[in-house]
Order: sequence, then structure tokens, then C-alpha cells
Amino acid sequence: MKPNDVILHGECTVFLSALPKSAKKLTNVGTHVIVADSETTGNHHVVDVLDGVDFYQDGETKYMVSTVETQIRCVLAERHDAIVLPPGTYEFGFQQEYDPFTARLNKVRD
Amino acid sequence: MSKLEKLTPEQEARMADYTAKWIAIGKDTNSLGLAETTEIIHNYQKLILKVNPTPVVIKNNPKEAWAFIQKHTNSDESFVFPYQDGSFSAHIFAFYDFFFTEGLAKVNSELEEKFNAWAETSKLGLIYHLDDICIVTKKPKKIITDAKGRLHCEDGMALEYEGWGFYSLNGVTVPEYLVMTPAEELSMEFFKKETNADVKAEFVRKYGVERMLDLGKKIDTYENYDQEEQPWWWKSEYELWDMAVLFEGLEYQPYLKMKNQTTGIWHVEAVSPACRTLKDAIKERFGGKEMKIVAIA
Repeated sequence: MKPNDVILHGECTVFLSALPKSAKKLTNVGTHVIVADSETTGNHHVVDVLDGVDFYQDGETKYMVSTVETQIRCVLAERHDAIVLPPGTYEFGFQQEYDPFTARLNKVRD
Repeated sequence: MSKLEKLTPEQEARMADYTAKWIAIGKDTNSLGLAETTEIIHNYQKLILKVNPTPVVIKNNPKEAWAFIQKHTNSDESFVFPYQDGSFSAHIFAFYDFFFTEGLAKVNSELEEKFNAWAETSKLGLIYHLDDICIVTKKPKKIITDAKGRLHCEDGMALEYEGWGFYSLNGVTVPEYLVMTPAEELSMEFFKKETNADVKAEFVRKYGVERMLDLGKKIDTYENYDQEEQPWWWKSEYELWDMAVLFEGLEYQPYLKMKNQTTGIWHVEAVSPACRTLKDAIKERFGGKEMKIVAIA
């Protein structure tokens, strides 16, 4: 991954970033962290928590600092294949779509 | 007992039998009566919850069960899925059943008795243990899945209880309209107003992407860009289409067409009229940042 490279996992964007000073570490996260939730199918986009993988949150934005490889995947694999994330500091976001009725950009939701 | 390092080919082959057995249990739609249900619940309460037996009531579906719980507890809390979901836990029981029955994991008789009491709940629907009563739902009377095991029914509810259920296409919960309306009668008004990406993709799948885009005009295509520079634009077959014809009073309303790299289905999603090229549209999708796609799933 290089700066300005982006991985798309469904509506979820994953890219290298810097950890904001105001970001707070997420604790007791279990085996995986939901980085984009699914309202309809429950098929959330998640990243596996391993030793060497830490998650942070600043406002609504999640970050990951990893010293080992992990992966982003869906709870149910058939919708989106898993993608390996090499070690790094990542930010998770959402793709945008336009609503012609309100003339506004919104997060893509599924 | 030594650590299990690997399974024999015969053991691996027998996994399919356990899978089939427990899928059949998970999809079984026969609901037990009150006496048998109560016996299973009381056994679970005694052995696992270690509480005194409570009265048991059976409700037709989760909605009715929750309404009962709200009234019983004088609460207006939104629906909560229970920690014990009866037949829906069949996949968990399948895992343990394989290792216990194959003799690959041994437990003492007390734990075995507890497991059996727990596994018996796979004969039931959702289970809500309250302090003074246990509420059990009937199992769905219909569960329709596709070859991949996803909820899918093209002419009715995919999961239906007595008195409640929902519609699904290819594992996506969708409005009744999308299932019950013949493809040739589907209205683009539904697509325009739907906000969920997966539901829209199911609309496109049923309506037909070519039929849909025939209404519009292609503005830009991945073929206009260097494949080596933007390989994922090519793999996703990104195209920009003007679909202003769908909107009275709009002169230009672009939509981005793209292929899901895992399922192969098409997504067609709106971008703002400021997007005159594919490059503009993809940049807007990323919040205005110019980024290079290096992987998509």
C-alpha cells in the first residue's frame, strides 16, 4: 500500500492514514471489529483482531494500527471476499453516493 | 487426551453427514407442543441455568414474543434477539456433535448431559429466559433458501412464521414489492427512492442492468482509461451513465455502474451532476480524494 492507495471492501474504504492525537484506543474488542455495519443483511464488514492489531476511534472514524497482517472480511463471506491488510496504520471510511432528491452526498449503506 | 493435530480423510469426509444432519434440523419447521417444549426448557433451566423451573409460554413469532415481553416487563425497549435461538443454533451444535460423536473430544458425563440438554433446544424457536417465565417462539413455518443456503424466495416470504415474516432475495432482506412484483412490472420509482445499496443491487439484478441503462445514455467508460494505470476500473467495468430521463426537471443525473468483484452482480449508484467523467465520479465516491484502487472485494 502507498499513500493515496485505497482498498474497497463493498462500501467500506481502507487506506493508509495517520492516527489523530485525539483518537481513543478501543478496548475489549473481542475477535473482530466491525468497521462498517450492515443494516439489512447483518453482513458487517469486520477486521480480525490479532496480537499486534490495535483499533482506535476518533468521532465516528475507526483506525487500525497493525504490526502484523490481518484481513478485512464479511461475516458472511459470499458477498465480499476477504482482503489481506499488510501491517500499517489504516483509516476506515465509506464510499459516498448522491441522493438526487435531496441533492446531498451520503454514505453508501447496505 | 492429546491435542488433535489433523483429521483423517475418513473423518473429513464424514463432516458432510453432520452438516446435512444439522442443516435439516436447522431448517425443520415442525414446532413442538407446550408439554414437550416445557420439558426441554425445564431441563435446560435445571442443568445449565441452575434456576427453578418457570412457566413456559409459546408465541407464534418473534414479534408476538417481544410484544409479550414488553407488556410483561412493562418496557418499551426495541426488539432484542435472544442469546438462545433454538434451531438457529444448529451450526453450533453441528460443530460439537462432530467432535463428540467421532470421539475426537471427550467430556465428562456431567458436561455431556449439559450439552445434550442444550442441543435439545434445537427443536425449539427463539427462547427468552426471564426470571419468572420463559417465552419460546414457534419455529418458522417456511424457510426457503437458494443453493448457497441464503434466504431466497421469488414468490413469497423467504422466512415465514405464523403471522409474521420477511422477504429475501439472495440473502438480502428486501421489501415485499421487490419480490412480489413481476420483473416486467417493476417501477424505476422504487430504485430511485431506495437508499440501501444491497436492495438496489437486487433491484438491478431482477430488473436487468441492460434494460435499465437502455433508458439512459453512456457518458464515460473504463475503456477510455489506461488498463495498466487503473486495472480495477477495468475489472469493475466502471461506466458513467446519464439517467436524467428518470427525473422530471433534471437535465443531467449521472449514475455509476460497477460490477461486484465477489458476486458478479451489478451496482448502479448515483453521483452528483458535478461528475462529468468516470474520474470525477470515482473521486467523489472517495469523499473528493483522488485515490488509486488497489483491491476490491
